[in-house]
Amino acid sequence: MSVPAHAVNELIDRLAAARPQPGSLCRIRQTSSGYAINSLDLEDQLIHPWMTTARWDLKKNRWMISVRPGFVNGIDATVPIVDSKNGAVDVPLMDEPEFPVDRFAFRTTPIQQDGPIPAFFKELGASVDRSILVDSLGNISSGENSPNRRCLQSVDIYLSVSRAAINGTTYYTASASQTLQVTYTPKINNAALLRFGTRPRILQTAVWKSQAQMTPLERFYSNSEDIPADELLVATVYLLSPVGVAEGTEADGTWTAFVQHSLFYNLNHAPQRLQPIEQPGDPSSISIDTGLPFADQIGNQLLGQLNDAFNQLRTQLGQTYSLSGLFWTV
Amino acid sequence: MIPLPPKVSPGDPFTAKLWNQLRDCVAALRPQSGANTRITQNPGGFIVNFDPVSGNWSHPFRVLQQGKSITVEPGFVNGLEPTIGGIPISGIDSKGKPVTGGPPKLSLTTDSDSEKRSWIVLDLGIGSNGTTITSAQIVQTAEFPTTLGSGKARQPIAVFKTVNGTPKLYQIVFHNLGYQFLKPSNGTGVHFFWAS
Repeated sequence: MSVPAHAVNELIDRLAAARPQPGSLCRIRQTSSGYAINSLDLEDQLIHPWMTTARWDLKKNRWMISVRPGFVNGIDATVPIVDSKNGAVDVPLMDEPEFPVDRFAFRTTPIQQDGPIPAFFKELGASVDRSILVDSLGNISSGENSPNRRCLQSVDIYLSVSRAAINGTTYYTASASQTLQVTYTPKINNAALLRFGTRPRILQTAVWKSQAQMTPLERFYSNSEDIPADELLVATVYLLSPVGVAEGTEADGTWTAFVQHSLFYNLNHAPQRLQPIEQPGDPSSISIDTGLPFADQIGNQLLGQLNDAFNQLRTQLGQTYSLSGLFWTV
Repeated sequence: MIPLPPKVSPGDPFTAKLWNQLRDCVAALRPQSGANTRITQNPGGFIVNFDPVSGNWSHPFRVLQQGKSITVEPGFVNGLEPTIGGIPISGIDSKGKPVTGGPPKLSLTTDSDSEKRSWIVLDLGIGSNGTTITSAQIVQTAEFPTTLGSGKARQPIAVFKTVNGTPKLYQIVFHNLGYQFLKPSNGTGVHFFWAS
């Protein structure tokens, strides 16, 4: 039997890739029967509330996340765990639940990138997929990736405490005078508070944005001028692929998890206190010149105007209608 | 564990079966990350990283458990040292002398709420002016959160969760504390504690 050179070279490459090297807190010793891999003394390492870890579950074939118990106002947070019998059940963090990652942000996709690639991962080889190039005119051509390129995906883990909110109703109506009238009527919404109470919850999303980071237009489309919860980013879990993995490949156990923490201490929280309003105010409204006799749909050319209009509306509404609370460290 | 292929002698044929056995062995060398372990694969090898799994650092209001005996490391609220059973938690009296018997201890009871939680809390007594702290003591309670009477404020320091009959300790407060009572023009007031 003859073995082609490329097969032998592939075997050599695989052998090379199978050699272990010590990373953080790791000691490796080579023996005749294999490598002995040990963790260094971990006794003085700091663990902290909200400490998040990720591991690949070989049985479930999924990435699983666990969060060390953290407390808000002295109460541990819960995390929704999907149970085949009961649906989603809120499990306290002190019961040490694990939950699967069920949404990813794609950091290295060439189109609609979900966020930047941190410099740390660029150093490790993460880069935007260049195998398909799309120019500003929409023309598609093929390109080439670095042979050491890696894919990067991430998921944001965040803390949410429900509260009452101002979720008014927005109307926009076209008039014969070629204007689009945007009307906003503020209204108290306590549905989330009634459903979830004030117990803190740990949730996940592909890309978390604070309320302050949402554009007026995003609020307009979601009809949520005021998110009925106070939220904080706990951690971002990054998953880095091995070298040469095609973009869009589902992250599996060959990928490596890294956690960037944003929250280290337990918290106290206070919502904005609802003050009795003796007489509701008038709806706030503003007119936009559309240049169209009938604006039955919002075109892209209006988006900038709408952002401006909602900024003005928010200014009109002022702090009186802001029910966002505060977190602070204890 | 995948078996190694048999050793060969000079002149033995190099068969497809032997090649495939070699290939399977190499493929089986690919490491998988376990708990608290991260593995990064490279063309030149794989890097093994361990995440820290335990911690041990001293900080204000750190609760220590030995069996059913609980002590609390010194911490301050508005510069005042709380007590356990009337004895400052440091075990040092107001004249700077060690108290006989050392730092005071709480005896852990089995009281717990519906989720088997029991808190170590800092209870403050507040003077009639609403600002002066008249007493600061650390106690164990299963009643949290709860409505306290006027002139009282409570901040949880740590919590025990009983799992399989064994209480597991979780620290809540890691700093000295500031405290203030704020009363709006109408409605009830609110007690604020914060890291200071």
